[in-house]
Amino acid sequence: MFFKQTDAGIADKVLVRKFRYLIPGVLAVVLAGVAAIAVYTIYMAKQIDARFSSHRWNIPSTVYSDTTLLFPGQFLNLELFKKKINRLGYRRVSHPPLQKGEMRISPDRIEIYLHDFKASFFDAKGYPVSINLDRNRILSLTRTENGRDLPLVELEPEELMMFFGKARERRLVVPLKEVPVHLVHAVLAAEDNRFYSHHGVDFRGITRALWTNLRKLAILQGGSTLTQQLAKNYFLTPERTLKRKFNELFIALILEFSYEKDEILEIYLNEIYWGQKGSVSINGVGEAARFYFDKPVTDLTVPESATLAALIKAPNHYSPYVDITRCLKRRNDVLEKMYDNGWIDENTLRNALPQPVKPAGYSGYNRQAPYFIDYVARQLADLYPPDILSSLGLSMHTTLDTQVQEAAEIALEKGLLSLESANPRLKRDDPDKKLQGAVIVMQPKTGYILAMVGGRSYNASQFNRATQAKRQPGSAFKPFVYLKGLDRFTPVSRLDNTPRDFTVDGRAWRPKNFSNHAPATVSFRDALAGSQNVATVQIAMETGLSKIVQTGSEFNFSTALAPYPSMALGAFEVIPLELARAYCVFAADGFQPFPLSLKEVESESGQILQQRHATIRRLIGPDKAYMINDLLKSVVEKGTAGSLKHRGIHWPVAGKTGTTNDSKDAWFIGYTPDILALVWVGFDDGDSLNATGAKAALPIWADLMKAIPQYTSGEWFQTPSGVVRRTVCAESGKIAVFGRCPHPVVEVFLERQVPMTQCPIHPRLNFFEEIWKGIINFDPLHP
Amino acid sequence: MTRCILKWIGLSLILLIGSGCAGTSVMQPAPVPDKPAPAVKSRPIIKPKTRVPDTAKPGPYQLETPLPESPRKTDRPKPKPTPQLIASLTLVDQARVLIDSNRPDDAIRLLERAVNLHPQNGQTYYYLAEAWLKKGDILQAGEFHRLAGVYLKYDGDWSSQLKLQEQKIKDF
Repeated sequence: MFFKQTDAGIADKVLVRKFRYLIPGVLAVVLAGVAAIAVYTIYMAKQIDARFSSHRWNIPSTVYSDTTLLFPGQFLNLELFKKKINRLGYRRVSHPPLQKGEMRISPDRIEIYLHDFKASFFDAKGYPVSINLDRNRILSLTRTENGRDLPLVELEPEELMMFFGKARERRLVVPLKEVPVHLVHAVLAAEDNRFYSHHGVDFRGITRALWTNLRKLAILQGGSTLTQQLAKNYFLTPERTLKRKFNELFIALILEFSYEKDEILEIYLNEIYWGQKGSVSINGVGEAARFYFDKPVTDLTVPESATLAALIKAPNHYSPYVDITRCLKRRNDVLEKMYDNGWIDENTLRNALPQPVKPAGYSGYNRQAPYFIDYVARQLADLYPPDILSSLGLSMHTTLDTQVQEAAEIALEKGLLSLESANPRLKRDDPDKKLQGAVIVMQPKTGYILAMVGGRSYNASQFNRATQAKRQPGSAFKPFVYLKGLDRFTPVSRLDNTPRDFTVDGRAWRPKNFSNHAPATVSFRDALAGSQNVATVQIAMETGLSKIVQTGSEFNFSTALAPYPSMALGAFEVIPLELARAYCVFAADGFQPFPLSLKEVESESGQILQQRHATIRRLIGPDKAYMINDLLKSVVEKGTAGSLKHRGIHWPVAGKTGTTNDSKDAWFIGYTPDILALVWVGFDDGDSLNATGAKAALPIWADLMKAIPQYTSGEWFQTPSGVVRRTVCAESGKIAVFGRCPHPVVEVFLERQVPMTQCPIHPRLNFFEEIWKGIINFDPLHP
Repeated sequence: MTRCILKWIGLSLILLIGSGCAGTSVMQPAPVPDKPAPAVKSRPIIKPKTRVPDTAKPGPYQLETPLPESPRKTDRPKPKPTPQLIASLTLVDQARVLIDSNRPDDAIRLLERAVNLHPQNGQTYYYLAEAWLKKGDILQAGEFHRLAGVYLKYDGDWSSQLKLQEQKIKDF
């Protein structure tokens, strides 16, 4: 008994002692648990707040082309123009365009319902316009709503490239107030019809889902609310663990506690995954509306909204681009749920159910103008780090004209293929050793780079021959020698063209002319037109080599020029873009533009972060620029580029061919007041082309120009003050004597160099000589 | 035969006397600067009406026409209203409004497009100079003013505007 009592007493004591420690222990654990939960809640709340209050999404930055201006009287390359409007996402319809993004093409007009486009400089609501054509010329532009003629139409820029982050997501963020109510209802009907009733976790929904799944012995329904889905998408990794599920519930509750329902819905609509465009994911309802229906969310109809809502469950499974019947069935389920919830009436349901799903169609990402984009990207890299470019949704506006770019790419490829087929020796199997080329197209007065092709295939070689290559310009440098020569010579000055030694610093050098039958003497004009080497070296020597070196530096060649006579023949290296820029001076009345490619960087909200305008600097007088233009016109009319007129170039053009030693490089640079284009052809390893600039580069230039009639007005440069014309004797270069000089020519002169004396070779006869001449030349049949 | 010779001598005399005898057989340069004139056709002879610049002292037989000076005294022919020019002027008009509304960057953007449409429209450069002035960039204002001068210096409607602009740039 004692022992029993004692045992009981001991047991009681132990129990009491246990309880004495248990209660505070449990309390301590509970308190510790509460504290841990509180700390975790604070930590998660802070994380959520940090994510929500800062930038919510990674939005890739986009590089755009320039806008396109259309005006009555403009000539178009219809083929390139139609490709452009296709790339802009306009879809062909057989009826007159009724919705933004629709177009109808007939032989005499192109009707387009323009997209909306918003940028800092371009904020236009779409409207229907008819481009009335007379073959390839715009007769008039009419706003079809009211029949009003328009003086100009500006087409939105083209998307050239996006700086995606690792996630490669595309998203167009839209505020909830812009989302139509039927779209909100469709999403709620499809995913969470009790969204506005629960607190983040819908236990009724979970029970219902559990019951349904148990009954059917399959997972048919999920009980996740929109808030849980958001938590899953936005904060968590996709693994299926208990910890993750707990976190999902926890974050959902915090979200519900911290944010209004509408805020959560807005984030959800902009966050979730809505499908796949190639390697890029479509996220958010704004991007989804554009991808599936090519319209802003505001314009979505009830069936379209139901379609988008239907996709959320499994975007690629229900995608109309994958299986339209499955998509239609799922859409109709959503419509019926909308009706069951009382969000649409019976009439709307009856109208919506039979409507087909009509996706807008899309073209995959095709990187345009890759060399140009690289050129722009290098400039952007100086301004923004890569993570900013892939997350802040910047818009970069450039000077690129996609029609010119396409024309340049086609012309280059065609030209190179043609050279290879004409001379099979030029063919190379190794892609790294293939015949290469580069094209740069600029507007000479603004310096806008309209097109840039840095090689034959970007996939094969990313080396940009337009901006990175250093090649000898050969005769393409001669105009700069002649420019300096204008201080001493006139276009009619006679030059000795016979091969001879030129000595500099005690060293003799003997240049050769390209042709063995070159004339012994030649005028300044004809020397440039015929690209005569010896006469050019004479000009350089008489002008002073140091002055020509100085010209190189004034014209912003970054490569070194050494004062050797061979420099006059372009025996040094230049970067093609710098050569094109240098020629712009002639085409721009003596002013040199900065080569402009990136015009503007805009933030996602439309704030201008960077802006670059065309800037110019006067290098030479307009009179000298005109003189060079006129001399270079002779190159095309009667010189080394004479074949241009047989290639369909019937308007005045100034240009210069260039061929280097052993035909390693072939150049043609041609321009009008409207446009300047440089073409280079050669091998990267310096192998010989066996072709001149006129044979290899000029045909590419001609094809390019014929393909962009919108840039060929046919106008020639206006004669500036300081330039005069005189009729002179072709032989003496002096003022021609009427009736005596057998070859009088009208020539341009700098005003200060105009010849003042009469031709000494064919002097005017005195009175008796005139009579005597009359007698001996008398023809009795024609007195 | 003798009659023919005499007839010819007489004709020659009349021609020589009528044309002023000394040195009048110098060919006439083309009066239109934009297009080269036919190379060998003779034209009516015109005596110089204006002062020949000091740098161009006439030789003993020089009876040249007053080409160096003539374009300065008269308005240049206005450019033909081509579609490009009309479109360019539409943009220039819009840009002018933007300059007046103190939005020079927007104006420059339009004016650059106008240049691309019609690079020989001097008005575009005049307003580019105005827009750069608004931005306070005296260097670019000056350069575009000089470029405008290439086209508008001898345009009666614009020469005085250009002078005013030059003064504005100097006063800046």
